[in-house]
Amino acid sequence: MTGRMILVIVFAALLGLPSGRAAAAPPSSDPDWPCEQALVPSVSAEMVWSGPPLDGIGDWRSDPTAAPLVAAISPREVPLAEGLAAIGRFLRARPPNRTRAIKRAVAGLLEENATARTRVIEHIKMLAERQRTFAGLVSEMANEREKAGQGASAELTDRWTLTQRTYYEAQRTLRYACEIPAELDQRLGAYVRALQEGIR
Amino acid sequence: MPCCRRLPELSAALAALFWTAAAAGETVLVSNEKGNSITALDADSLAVIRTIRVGQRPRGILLSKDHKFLYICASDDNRIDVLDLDTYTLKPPLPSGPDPETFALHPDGNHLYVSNEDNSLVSIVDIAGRRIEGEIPVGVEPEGMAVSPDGKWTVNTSETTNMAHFVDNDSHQVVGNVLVDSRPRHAEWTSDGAQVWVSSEIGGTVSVIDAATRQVVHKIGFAVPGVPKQAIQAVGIALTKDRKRAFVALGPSNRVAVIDMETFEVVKYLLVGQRVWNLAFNHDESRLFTTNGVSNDISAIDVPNLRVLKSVTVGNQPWGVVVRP
Repeated sequence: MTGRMILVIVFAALLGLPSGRAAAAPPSSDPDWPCEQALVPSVSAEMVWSGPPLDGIGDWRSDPTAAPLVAAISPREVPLAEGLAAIGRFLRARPPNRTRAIKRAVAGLLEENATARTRVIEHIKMLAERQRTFAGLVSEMANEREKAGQGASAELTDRWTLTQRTYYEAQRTLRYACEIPAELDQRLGAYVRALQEGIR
Repeated sequence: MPCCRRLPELSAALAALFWTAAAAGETVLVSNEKGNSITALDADSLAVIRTIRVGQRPRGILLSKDHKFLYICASDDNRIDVLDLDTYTLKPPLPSGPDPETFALHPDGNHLYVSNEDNSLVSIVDIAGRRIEGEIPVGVEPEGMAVSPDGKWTVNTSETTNMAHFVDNDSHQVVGNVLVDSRPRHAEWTSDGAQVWVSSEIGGTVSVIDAATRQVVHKIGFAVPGVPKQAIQAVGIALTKDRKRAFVALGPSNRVAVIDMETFEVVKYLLVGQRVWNLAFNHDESRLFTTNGVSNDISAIDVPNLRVLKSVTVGNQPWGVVVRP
């Protein structure tokens, strides 16, 4: 890859234009959002829940059955199948005031999802900010190398190679990170649908 | 009134009977973007008939004019796969140009208009000749494709340029550009060719374009109580042939908006699966099927009664959907 091509890719990334799969996708209406997936800052109950309203249920943390369920199945490390099995056990155990317990579990899952989403979104934006700074550095080095032409030192060439490799690896990381909000939403949706079955 | 107590059951039984009659013999075909597969389902029972491995990142799909083949944009393999729907076997692929995302079939049944997302081109594929017949430069990141019912025009939307480009299919030239809201995703002609409806994902709107004047004559916005505005992202569009009802998939809001096509008012929002993306009617438009990319399922909507019947799991990240009569 020539220095000119690298420059095109770096500037494209800086401008949020597509330049192949390695570069950042066009941003959504939030200029700091680097992902191809349009930013959805939060998930409300209305987006996933079609059961009775969740208001007037008190604090979900005080519920002796819903609170442990939420704590057990919310972490991303818990496999979805395991989480769904725990919901199955929760429903089969017929908790006292079943509908309220289910609604509290849904409220808790929504809250935990919101916390995790906010953290992930902030992390993605931070990664993107770092990449923008890094893209500037890559751009400067490309200029330096172009100017030096055939006389570019081995040290400059090595630094250049390492810098562009690091840049692309970070881009790949960013692309994976961009998938996480949807993964969180997928878990939330599956859990909420399973709980809703308990009300029908 | 004993007679009336049984009305709900009777109504459900009639609905089930009607469902069977309406969708009998039809097949729903879904592309799974991350699963690299096509799922075929019985449109009546929604049971999965077959899952077929295809090229990488299948997105846009459509039926051949005789309904015998399914054309599939295999985006990461830079080709169009051809699936024989009688045997569920792949035939030799067609060329597509780089990164084909969506396409439209000309009414002649022999030309595909393909959006090449990575190089700002629309490629015209001669199916019988198995070659690319022409390329049309359009805006950055071409996406939605729709050929007019009379075959004279193609509309392509470009995600980054935020335009609907009108292409003259005889000269292969862009003859008009219409500015729409941010990240236009899908274009759909009305059955009489009078209007083109274009959805904008980030803008969260649908622009209704008069085809003759190439002016936006209506802009439809959406608001779902309790749902953040950023979650309302307009994507797939389906319009009934009688020009009475429009359905618009609203992405992560998990809603399909139902619109009166005469007044342009939203009459209902239907809750379906997560991140609803594309839509397809069955043959008599009694059913509408939606792909839900995050919940990995499709939802079936009863069109006359405007209610969601059920959702069924398909492959990983369902994207496109068509119904074979």
